[in-house]
Amino acid sequence: MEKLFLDGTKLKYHLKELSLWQKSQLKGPLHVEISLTSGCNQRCILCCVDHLGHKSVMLSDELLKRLPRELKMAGVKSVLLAGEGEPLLHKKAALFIDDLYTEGIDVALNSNAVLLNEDFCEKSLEKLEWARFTLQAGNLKTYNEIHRPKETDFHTACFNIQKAVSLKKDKKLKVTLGIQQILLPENLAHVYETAKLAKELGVDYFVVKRFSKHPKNSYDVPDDFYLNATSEFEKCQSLKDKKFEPIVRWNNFTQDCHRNYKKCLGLPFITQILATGKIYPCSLFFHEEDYCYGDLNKESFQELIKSKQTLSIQEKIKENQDVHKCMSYCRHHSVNQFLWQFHESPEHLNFI
Amino acid sequence: MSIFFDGHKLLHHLDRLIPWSEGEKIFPLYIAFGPTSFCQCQCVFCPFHSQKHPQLPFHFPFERFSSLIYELKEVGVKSLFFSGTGEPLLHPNIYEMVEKAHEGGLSVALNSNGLNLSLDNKKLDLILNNLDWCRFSINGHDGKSYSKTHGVNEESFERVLKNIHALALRKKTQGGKCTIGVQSLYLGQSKDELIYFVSRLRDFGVDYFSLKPFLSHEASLLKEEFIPALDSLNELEKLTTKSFKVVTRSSFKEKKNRIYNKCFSFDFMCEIDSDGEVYTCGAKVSDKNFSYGSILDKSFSEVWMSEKRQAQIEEIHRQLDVQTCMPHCRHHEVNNWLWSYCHPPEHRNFI
Repeated sequence: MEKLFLDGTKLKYHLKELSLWQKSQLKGPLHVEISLTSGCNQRCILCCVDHLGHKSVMLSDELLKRLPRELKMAGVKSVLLAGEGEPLLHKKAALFIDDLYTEGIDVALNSNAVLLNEDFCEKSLEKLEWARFTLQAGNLKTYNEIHRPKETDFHTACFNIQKAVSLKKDKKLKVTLGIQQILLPENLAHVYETAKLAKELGVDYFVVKRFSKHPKNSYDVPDDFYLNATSEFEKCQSLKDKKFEPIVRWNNFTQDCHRNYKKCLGLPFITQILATGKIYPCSLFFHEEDYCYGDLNKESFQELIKSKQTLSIQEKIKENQDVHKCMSYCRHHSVNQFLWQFHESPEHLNFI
Repeated sequence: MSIFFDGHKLLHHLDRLIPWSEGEKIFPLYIAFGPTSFCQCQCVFCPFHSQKHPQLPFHFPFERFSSLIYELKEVGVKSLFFSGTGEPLLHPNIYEMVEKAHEGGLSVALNSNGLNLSLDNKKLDLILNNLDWCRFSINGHDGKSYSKTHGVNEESFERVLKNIHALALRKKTQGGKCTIGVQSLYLGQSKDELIYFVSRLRDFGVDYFSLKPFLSHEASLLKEEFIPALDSLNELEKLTTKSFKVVTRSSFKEKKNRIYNKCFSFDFMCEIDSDGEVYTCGAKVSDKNFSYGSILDKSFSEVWMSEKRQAQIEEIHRQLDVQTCMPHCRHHEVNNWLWSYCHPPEHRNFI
């Protein structure tokens, strides 16, 4: 496995698209996050889309069928199945992954792993670039407190992850498997425990990152409390070996989401498709009609992503949205940090 | 004014970077050019005075310069930096060269000790109108300290300040795009000495002052390492105003590790010495293993695209341990970036 890079943007590896963006000629986003469903089998206390109420809508069969080709046509290079629900609640998740893969689009999955059954793994694991499973704690009691799941979920998730790992090993699959914990007061003392469990389950890495609050949710965590976890973070490093990488997203903890940029420039590169078939710029604006790029049930992705409406919403956010009021470490944050150098270029550019 | 000292500006040249990333042979963007090997100073930190300028001075032939500029523009070189192993202002045709380079369509800059800056308004205007920036190297806060570091008489200190003052005044009254900067190496000056000196520059109307760590080159006579107190750097930066910027380089605070073991930046920049030899970089000037050949009897394009150059670069890649090169050299930031670009992490499509 090449090194993993989770603490920043990888946009610099896409110079052609960067150049097209500079000329306002980018065909479509490089990365799309898709919600296969808005429903979830758990009710995590920290959930980013808590304010939306978890009404269960599934991405329609028609869109499942149409989207892979349309995304490809728009130049999309990668899709993450995540968004506002648990992707594996969708019965046709494997089929969708298969179609995206066939189109040559890189696919990844975020999941709580409770529904990560053998059938899915057999069909889909080899078609995923990576899968990241959420375990907010490495013990039943804390897990239950945070995920608010069915009593059996913790064990089921662990069991499923272990099965996925052995399948990966048996078939020598390239998929990278990871476990993620978001640091909360509730699991602060258990970071090492989760990392240790991750290693025992056999995944490739464990990552701990900072919580990010959606302004419409009430659950929050204090800014600097990660300082109380530094000894746990350090302990995690002792688990590192050739096959396992414990990752603490230090930049994400220590930089307090310093925004060097004044405008959100990254919207043309990353977008969100919700289970309703509607497209949004980012999770801050989920289901806000004023910020909806359009409805895939009415038009194709290629048309919508370059439509007047999309461009005017992107412009509206760029010009009017105070980025300092956005969610900290939003999905566009590091892309924006990177792109800002083109918006405010220094003097004497030819002296490289 | 947003001047950028730490890092690189390569990403602003995607039209060159993209072909390079696809394996195409490209011409450089930036060339450091030494008009002369002659210098009147004997600076303690200079890697060249021990090797080069005590010998016969060599001025780059002016008649070749005009055609060179045309060639450079033709192949897409974007900037020319007058610097080199000697003092550029000691070339008899330096002002004409500056003008020619600018008129030829290049962005032009100058590094100088400032001692021979002409006080003639016409010449000052040539500097102000043709250069994007100029940077004067002044190390010392009075005649005595200046004399000790630069190896010239004590009167030279006030002379150089007078020259720079005249340039800054001319810019204030007549305008001109040239950013005027002064740079000192940190060679153990006290906080008070630095503040005294930098305050004078500020009053002159210079645009910026930059304090840079001394980088020992294998040929420098000075081998000492000087580490300033961080709070005195902060104090110094407080002299910044709306029209005057004080920069202490980030390499004081962070170690600039080389993540690369090959110099990919050779494709993007080079150094032309006063004798016409094209070198990989300033630090290797006078080592023939690092010269691609001379442009006195060949065109730049011939030298640059020659098989000899290709073979030589391959050989350098094989032989040179970059960790032994001088720390944070001119190519360093570009190299770090290019190396990481060529070694992408997993899952790069998930931006």
